[in-house]
Amino acid sequence: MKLARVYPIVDSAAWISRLAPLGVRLVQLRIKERAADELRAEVRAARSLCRAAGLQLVVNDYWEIALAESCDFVHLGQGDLAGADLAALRRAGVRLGISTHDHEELERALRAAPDYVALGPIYPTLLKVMPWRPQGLERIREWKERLGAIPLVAIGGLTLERLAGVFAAGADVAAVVTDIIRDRDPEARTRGWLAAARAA
Amino acid sequence: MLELYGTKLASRLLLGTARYPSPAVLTDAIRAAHAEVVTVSLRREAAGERAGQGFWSIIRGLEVRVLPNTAGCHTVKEAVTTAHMAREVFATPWVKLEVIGEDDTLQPDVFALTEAARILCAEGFEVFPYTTEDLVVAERLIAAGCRVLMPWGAPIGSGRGLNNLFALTALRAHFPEVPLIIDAGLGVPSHAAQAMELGFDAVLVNTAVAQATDPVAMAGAFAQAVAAGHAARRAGPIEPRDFAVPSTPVVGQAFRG
Repeated sequence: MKLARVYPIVDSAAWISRLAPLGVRLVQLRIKERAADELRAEVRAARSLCRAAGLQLVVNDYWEIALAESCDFVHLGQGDLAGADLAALRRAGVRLGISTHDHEELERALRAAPDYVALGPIYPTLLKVMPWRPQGLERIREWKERLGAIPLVAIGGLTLERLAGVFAAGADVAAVVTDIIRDRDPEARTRGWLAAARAA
Repeated sequence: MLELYGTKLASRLLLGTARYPSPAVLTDAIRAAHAEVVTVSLRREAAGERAGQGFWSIIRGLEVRVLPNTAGCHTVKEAVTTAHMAREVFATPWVKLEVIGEDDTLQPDVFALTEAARILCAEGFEVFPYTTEDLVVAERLIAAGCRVLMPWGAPIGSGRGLNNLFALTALRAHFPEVPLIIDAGLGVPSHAAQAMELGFDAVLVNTAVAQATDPVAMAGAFAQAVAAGHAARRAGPIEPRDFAVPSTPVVGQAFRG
């Protein structure tokens, strides 16, 4: 399966409406700590936007909502993997992305037959305090070798300047949070990412 | 009654929904304005602070017709994609088409605007183009399929009123049958009254209300001004003259010889 190479992660449907017109084709909605009805409404709005603009929508964590709202993808961390009804997701055609940080997690992820595997953090990240040291580019090479045709998503601390190196190491997709949404001009930064991915 | 793409409206004041101090103030301002149509920006609401408020849910909960806009778009492709998303989210064929050509004045890129209008009209959208007062551009937009035009009074948010009275008057005279809505740049209710007195069909206000010290009171003031200006237009204003004309007959005055 072919995924778009630039993969912004945002916390609202409104951000999707802002990035989609620029040419973004894959986006993750990652929302923390919201009331259940608001969460559902936000996912629904995101799905409507993505459908209208031709984006693939990945919902972080909330696999039941992703299932109910017929989203394209759900992204799960290792902790969420055990509790999710993967068979139901498969039946509904909801694809699966899984986070990995070490070899053990990678093997566990592969047993779930994921549609992509994420590896992170590649670089030190601003958003999460992580127990893992930055993975570095060498791990991208190693992961890609193990994954074969399964798309590899690089995540964590990526910037426009680091993009070429990440793709050169073998990542199929680069996920981005702060480098776009905390930029003074997120639109311009997004255009830069898209141009760099086209050139890579 | 005002008729826009077959929809009849009693209110001639349209309200923008950006930049209010709170959703509650916005709701009250819409009521005070007696607005039946509100514009909503898909993209402008994206900035961080509002993201968590379920802004679109609030808008959908109000009993008003939504006119989604493509604010912030700079290219034909962006505007067309945003229009598609707006149609999906708000389930309406209406779109207020904005394609910005210059960032300091937020001036429409009229070339991209007419191209985007042509594409969207062909796809069945009912397009409300945000344009300048230029007659030729207006012709092109109508040829592209637009049946409503939204010329600016002045640059968005500038509060300067009707900058080019001559051209706006000419525009009104050239298109007597096309609903013309003064879109941007109004600052105070007298600007809105003036637009209505010139024969425009409606006005759209956002910043002048949203950023007023008391947005709800200002919304009410604009509603009164629009009603007064419209009534004055229908009542037939006198022509301005260069010299005084006595309002009381001089014939029969006691002390004239």
